[in-house]
Amino acid sequence: MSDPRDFSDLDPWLEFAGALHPVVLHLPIGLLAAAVLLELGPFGRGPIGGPRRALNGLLALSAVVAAASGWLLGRGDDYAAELVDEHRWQGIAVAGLCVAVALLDRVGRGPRARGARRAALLAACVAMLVAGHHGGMLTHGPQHLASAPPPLDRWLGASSDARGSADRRVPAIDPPASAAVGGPTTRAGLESVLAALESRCYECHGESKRKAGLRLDTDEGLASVLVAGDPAASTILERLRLPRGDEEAMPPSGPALAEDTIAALEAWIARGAASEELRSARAGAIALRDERARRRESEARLATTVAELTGARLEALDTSETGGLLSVDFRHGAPRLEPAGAAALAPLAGRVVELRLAGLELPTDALDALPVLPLLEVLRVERTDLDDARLALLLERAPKLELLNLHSSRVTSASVDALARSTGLIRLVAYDTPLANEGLAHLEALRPELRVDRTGGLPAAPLAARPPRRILAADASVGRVALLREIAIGRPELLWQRSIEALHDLQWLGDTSDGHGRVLIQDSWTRVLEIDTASDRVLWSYDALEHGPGPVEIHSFRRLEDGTTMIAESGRGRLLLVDAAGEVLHRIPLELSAPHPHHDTRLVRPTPVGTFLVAHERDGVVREYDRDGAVIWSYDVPLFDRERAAGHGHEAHGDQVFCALRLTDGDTLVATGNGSSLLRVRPNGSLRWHLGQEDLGGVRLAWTTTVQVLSSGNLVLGNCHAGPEQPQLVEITPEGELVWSFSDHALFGDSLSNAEVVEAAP
Amino acid sequence: MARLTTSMRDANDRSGRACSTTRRQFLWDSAGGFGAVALYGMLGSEFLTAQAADASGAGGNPLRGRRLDGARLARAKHVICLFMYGGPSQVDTFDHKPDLYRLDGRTIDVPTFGRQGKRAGGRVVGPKWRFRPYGECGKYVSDLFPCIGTQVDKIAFVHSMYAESPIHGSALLNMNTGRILSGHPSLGSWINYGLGTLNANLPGYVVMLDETGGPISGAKNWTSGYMPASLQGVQVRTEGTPILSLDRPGALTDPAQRELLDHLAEENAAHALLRPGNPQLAARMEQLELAYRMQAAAPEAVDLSRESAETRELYGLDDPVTRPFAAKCLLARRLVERGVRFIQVYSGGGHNDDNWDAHGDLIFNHTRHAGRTDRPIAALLVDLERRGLLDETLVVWGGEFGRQPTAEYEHGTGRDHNSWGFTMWLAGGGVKGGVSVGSTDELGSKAVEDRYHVKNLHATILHAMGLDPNGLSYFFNGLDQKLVGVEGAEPIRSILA
Repeated sequence: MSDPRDFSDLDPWLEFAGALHPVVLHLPIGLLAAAVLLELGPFGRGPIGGPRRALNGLLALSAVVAAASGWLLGRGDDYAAELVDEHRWQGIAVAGLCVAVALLDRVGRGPRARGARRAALLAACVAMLVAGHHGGMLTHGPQHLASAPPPLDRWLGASSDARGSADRRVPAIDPPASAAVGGPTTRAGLESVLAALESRCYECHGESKRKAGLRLDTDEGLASVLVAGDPAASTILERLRLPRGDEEAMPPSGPALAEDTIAALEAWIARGAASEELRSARAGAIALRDERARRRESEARLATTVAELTGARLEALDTSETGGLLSVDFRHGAPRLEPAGAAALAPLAGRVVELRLAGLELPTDALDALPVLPLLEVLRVERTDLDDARLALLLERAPKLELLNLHSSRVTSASVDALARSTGLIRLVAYDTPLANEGLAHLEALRPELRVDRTGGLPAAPLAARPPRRILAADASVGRVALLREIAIGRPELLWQRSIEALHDLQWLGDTSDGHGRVLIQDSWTRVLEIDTASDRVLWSYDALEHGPGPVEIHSFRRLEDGTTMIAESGRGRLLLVDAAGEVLHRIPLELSAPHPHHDTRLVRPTPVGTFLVAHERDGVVREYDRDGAVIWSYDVPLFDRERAAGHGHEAHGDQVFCALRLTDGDTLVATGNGSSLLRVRPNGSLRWHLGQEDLGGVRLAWTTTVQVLSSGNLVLGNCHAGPEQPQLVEITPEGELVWSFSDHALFGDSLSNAEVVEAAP
Repeated sequence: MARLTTSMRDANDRSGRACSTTRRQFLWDSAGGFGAVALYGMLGSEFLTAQAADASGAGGNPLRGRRLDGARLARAKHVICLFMYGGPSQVDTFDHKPDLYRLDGRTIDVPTFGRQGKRAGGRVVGPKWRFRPYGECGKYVSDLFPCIGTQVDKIAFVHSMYAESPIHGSALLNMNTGRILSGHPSLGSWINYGLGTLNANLPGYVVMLDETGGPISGAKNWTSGYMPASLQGVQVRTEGTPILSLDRPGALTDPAQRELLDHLAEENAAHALLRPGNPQLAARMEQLELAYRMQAAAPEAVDLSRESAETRELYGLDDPVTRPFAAKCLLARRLVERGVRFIQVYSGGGHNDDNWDAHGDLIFNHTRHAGRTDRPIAALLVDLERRGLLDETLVVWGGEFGRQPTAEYEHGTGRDHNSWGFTMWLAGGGVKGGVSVGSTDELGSKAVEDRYHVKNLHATILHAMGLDPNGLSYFFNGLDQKLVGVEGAEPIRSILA
């Protein structure tokens, strides 16, 4: 019979008490819930004070018991110490807070006491939640809530991850950069095993903690989990290779060990698991570490000395421990390369891959003193006084040169041969040197693969570089025809203007002086004028009323290549060819289904083969007439499944075609007027493309009027009645991309019907 | 950083010596301190640390030459940051939104957040300029930037930027220091802290302000925060005296000034003995010497009259509209050539339409500021390239935020601030040309695809400079402070070369 007060005999009892912790702890949880319920609502006051005090007392007692049992359980070393410590203090906090609740309930009655009690109760609940979570992590692993549904899983999983990370320690033994060096069976492999054991295993199976009574940092301990010569029977390998989800998998947290590390361990076991081998690997690893440290120190001393003597800045470009590649920058201090400084580079000369001498004075004696730099790839000697002789000195010292920056130096074409011999050279920057002006062509012929930068300016911007345009445009609603000249992109100035009563066509006939020229316009529905805008003098005119009675209106005219003028007379339903003297040479009758003096035609344009394309506004048809008045082609403008709508703006719709233009390839461009579109029609009448009302980003087409083909192939389209927010003219590529637009709502109104862009002479 | 944090803690060690670490110890620490070196993969970068005179803030540029990630070969060595203060409108500059034109004037539901607070919708202001394709990449650029348009094959556009604040003051701090609160070091300080200076005679961090004045909060935007004062931006001007208060007073001769400085240095050294590692004192001592060296080096560096007529014409230096910004861009190139690490140039200053803050008349405002900067910026890219400098100079363009697709007021074209989505671009060292990443919604209102926080931009810049954005840290107030915040941020890998 042992003495019950014998402390050593108490141990099994304490252990048993500790084992009760998972059972006991649920009692305070339940009581805490009951205590909270009692505080809520009408239960908080009045006659239930007695039972509540009893309950709170019981709560305090059970919490203390639970904490105490937990303390006893935590004495064992089966759990990660960090977590146990945290959980222990959290549990004590819960117990403390529960005791506080009970005490507060006993001493105070007033509202302040009630407040304090409730605060303590709330704190106890929070502490309980935290402690409970950590308890769960201890028994079920740090990921015990990680299977929560999203979005809960993210923060639950993340928080337990951060807590469970035990792998942040610096390994005292370097894992080799690549465990594969020399194969996994070499000593290098064993080093990786040692490093892994140290960083991943010793925490729980080491000197301070031996979970399951196992130490892996001793030969005996390691031997207890392996069978020398028989990897298959070795527990350690089995546990390391269990799938990560398995409860028995080791290490219990973090990723599995690298497979080649495990393979190295396996190979060592297969070889007989000699502890000698392990010991020598350990000694080797430590010796290597010390050797590296020593070499690093001597390297640092050397570099410091060289940096001081040269006055240059040295920069390591790679991560090799010693013998790494260097960039040397002499710009750091003095304005001049000194012979002593250049010579001082010698101890490191074999490792310099970049040398920067930009902006320095480079005397010959200093370059003479420079050691040969067998690995030099980048040499920057821009903005120096370097000449051909001294460049030759440098090239001799740099057999592997790839990039040479010479810009703003004095190197001339005399260096071409020397540069051509520098066979490794890939890129040469020769901007602003005498060499750039002459000799480079020869060098490029010798070395076609060499990239040479010799010049560079701002490329012509399509906008900024385009020659300024003139624009001849008219809006009868404001009684104005005007010639504008762009002085910058988007900034036109007014060259000439004239008042008009009516206008539906205009034509630029050619330059006269100072941007001015001869234009063909009309100033009433019956009178066509040729005017020199420089003098505003009328050079030629035609009035329909002088050739018979009305009603008659002119909506189109054109000076032809033979010098005659085509005039389209609506009301009379005919085209006239008139000569310079005003004599009518030829008449072409038009086919009209519903004649009207205002609507018979809009624009009439000659085709390349001498026929005329007439836009019949009222008929909604384009007809091509030969000189005898026979219709040889026609195109009925479609409505595109949209109801006709009255008006002039974008809301209107119809087929009141305004202009048709024959292209050199035989297609016809049709500006459909209130169809608000531009069509390109094949000779067989099918549509090649269709630019609809909303097809230009940012522009809404309304009454499409004049069409013009520019020398670039781009098209200019009039956009009449489109409102003050919209451009009055747009330039588009043949593919329909918007390039340029014109709007001047101050000079013109909402009825800019006709315009012609006058391009600068090439 | 482990290195650094140790040093900073050492600095507080009151051992009575000027520096608590002996030179040998320091060398050993920086070169042979195995744990720290192995931990951060700094093998090979020991030269740099060995060159640093002192890591406690008492050296010229404390920790100069500290490369924290030696594994990467830095592509960029310099940064030129073109800061469009006020917030340029993305949909009128580089973020082409064809559908927005036809919505002009229509009232739509689109949530916005600007200086007017949160709104549920508003009247759309269609883009006021046409876009056209440029370069081999066919990037659409608005007619505000016909010159920059020709350079798009050098540029990586990020259309999906977002920032933390739609208010100028905090947004500027956000863009410059990574936080919306005051007191943190700016990007230029971080880069100089991480890489050190390349020219001992010039500051490593230069700021040039708009001729109309500085941005809101002024020097907070180029402060070194809790880092030593030698890492803060130095203001350089292109008109009048380049650097204020730098010239030697008339009667003082060079030998007399040298004698004065030597005596001051002696007194300061004695003073410092009792205050080991005091960064303010150390910075002051170093600044006196740097200023003395700058008296000799700066006049040559800022002398634009040495530039050829062709170069002046390229930048637009003789056009009164472009001259102020052209001079700054040209000076930025000269400073890059002379080893200055970080140069920030502001377009816009003061208030209202003196900067890009187009609340009233968008067309007037943006025409004005684009007109002043378009040619100089394009010229800078061309000039850097032809001199072989673009490979190692990173040019960054952008404002503190963008603008909304809707109007701020009942009438007019003005747009309110928008930090939910805006465009920035980078060109040169370390980044690809002719690429565009991320996108805003079809209205250009909010970044929706591949969204990038300001931190990602900062991480990209640090990465391009060869620094590890999540490794570069400075120990202060019990925390390893980082530009990208303790949570870290990834660089925008899709634009990295």
